[in-house]
Amino acid sequence: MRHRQRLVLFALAALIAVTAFVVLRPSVGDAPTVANAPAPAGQDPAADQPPDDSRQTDAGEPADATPAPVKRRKAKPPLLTADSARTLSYNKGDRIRFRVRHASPEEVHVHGYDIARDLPAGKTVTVSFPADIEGIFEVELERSGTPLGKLKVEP
Amino acid sequence: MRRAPTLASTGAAAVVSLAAAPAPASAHGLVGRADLPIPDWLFSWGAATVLIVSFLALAAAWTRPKLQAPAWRPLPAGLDRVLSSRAVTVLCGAIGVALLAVTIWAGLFGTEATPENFAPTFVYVGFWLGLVPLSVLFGDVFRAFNPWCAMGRATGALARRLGGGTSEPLPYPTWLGYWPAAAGLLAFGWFELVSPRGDEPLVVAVLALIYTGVTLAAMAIYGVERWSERGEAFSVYFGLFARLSVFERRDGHLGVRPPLSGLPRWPVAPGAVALLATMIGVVTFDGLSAGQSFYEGMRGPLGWLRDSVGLSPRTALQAVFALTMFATVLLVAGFYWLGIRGARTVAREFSTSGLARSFAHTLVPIALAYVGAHYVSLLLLQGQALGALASDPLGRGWDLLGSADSEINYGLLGAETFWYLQVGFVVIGHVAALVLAHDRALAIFDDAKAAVRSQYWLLTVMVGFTTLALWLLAQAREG
Repeated sequence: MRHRQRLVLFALAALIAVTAFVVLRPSVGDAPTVANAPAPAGQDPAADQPPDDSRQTDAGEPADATPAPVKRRKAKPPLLTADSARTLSYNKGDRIRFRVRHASPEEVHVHGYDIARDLPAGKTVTVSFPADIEGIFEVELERSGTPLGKLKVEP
Repeated sequence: MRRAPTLASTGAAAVVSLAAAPAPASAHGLVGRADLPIPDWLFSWGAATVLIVSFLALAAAWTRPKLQAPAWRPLPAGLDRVLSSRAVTVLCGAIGVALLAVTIWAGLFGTEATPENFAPTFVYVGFWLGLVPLSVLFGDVFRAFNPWCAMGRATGALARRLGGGTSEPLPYPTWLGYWPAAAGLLAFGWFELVSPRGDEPLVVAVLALIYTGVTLAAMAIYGVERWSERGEAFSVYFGLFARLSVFERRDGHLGVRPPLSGLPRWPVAPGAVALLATMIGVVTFDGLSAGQSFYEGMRGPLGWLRDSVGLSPRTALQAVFALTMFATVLLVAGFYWLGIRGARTVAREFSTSGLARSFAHTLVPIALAYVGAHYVSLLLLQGQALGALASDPLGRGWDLLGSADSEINYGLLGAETFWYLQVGFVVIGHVAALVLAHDRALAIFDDAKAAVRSQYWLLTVMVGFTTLALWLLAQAREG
């Protein structure tokens, strides 16, 4: 009885293993494709690419579960303001580009990357640097501590 | 330091701006970096592995308890003599007291800018997170460096030397058990995750002073050893994780024991379940409050508190955070209780609370998995800031140790490495919990069959906790 019980349990474990494998395999197979998909756009992450080559997805719109369309050439980099609260998504190796504007003189600060730019009152400043650290990073107005949005850099 | 976001009057806009800046999650506000959520396939694979491992554990079950009365082998005499010597004990205690003093000094007199002050990063990252892996690897490290124990012992020695007859401490009430420690951890969690001012250097210093006063008073009443075993929150917390290590002090000598054999010998007392529920619940809340679904769920209660109760947006947010944290702790305890009620159906001779306490130690590896998965990146990345802060604790531009210019290397480990570490912690914690629960069941039930049947219930509880841990890791942190 005990022996048979063990066999049943091992069989159950094997069954789960096989099921999990079958279920997971497509997504495991997909994973590299997803990761590689933007590669043609960002083939040479080290070099200074033309700005419009960067692939930016705007995940900041509320109630929008589907990924926003990839922005095409000539699109201006997304604008971050004190009440935009957007998350900008990139893949590692892309070039991060966004614009910032604020009514009073400020300093824009990107955590993690530790990038700071002066922000004259009412002027639009473009911030651009390579996405070489993975994670989610906050962008904020340094003096008042106001959050502007987040940068999401995936592997 | 993170300011409360200005809430727009409309619900949707408020939620969006909230999601961008979870204001009360203050202690981690100094970080500015978050983990990427684990991808779906890794979540599914982790959950599947947990199930497979669980069934294998049942199948390969041993029939006699192995961990309840573990063998213990002393370390080489020379090493033990050095590590247990009076000089080393006094030195470690002095280091602990010095670190506490620097923390309070920096908090009181240093800069008000949280990231540039030694106190918040040291308390919330170096001490609170850093001692966890040290305890698991090297045993009860905090016992050696505990500043309050050192002060208590020094005062006692001084009193004896001065010839004053030291009075015997009062007996520690049995009913009090681990309740003071549980309450202490919950309070720490509140300052870490709910209070908007919990990460301000001044607040950290004042809290450290208050805690020092309370601890020394309690030690004076109940004795240094007794209070640090039962009541002092950090001694109990790190001591529990230290029971996972192979090092153990017996009769004043250091030795090694088999892995996992320290936990079954954890003295059971009232409040044990509350303590573990607090440890798991507070981390769960931290993960939950960082996720997107939390902000969507919070929209209704927040609006109600603002519009009908008339609270300011900031107060409403804090109230919701505090209530959710307490509710999470209660839910964790309730879920465990449910499993114990189930296990009791095979063993009516036990009381529910007795059974709950005798299995409480099996939750320690799960608590460790939660802490490890949730904070490994914070410790490894933000912990680097302590290099620069040690040279300039007050944030005044000093360079005492020559390390003031060292910077955090955020690229130290990639997102994928963190994912595998996180899922690895969760799966290993789950396995350790199963092993402990099975062994305890064999020890307390007369009949091995009843022991196995009781395990179906506990297994369900643990799979629940583990899946929750994985789900929290998969929570997107998007705006």
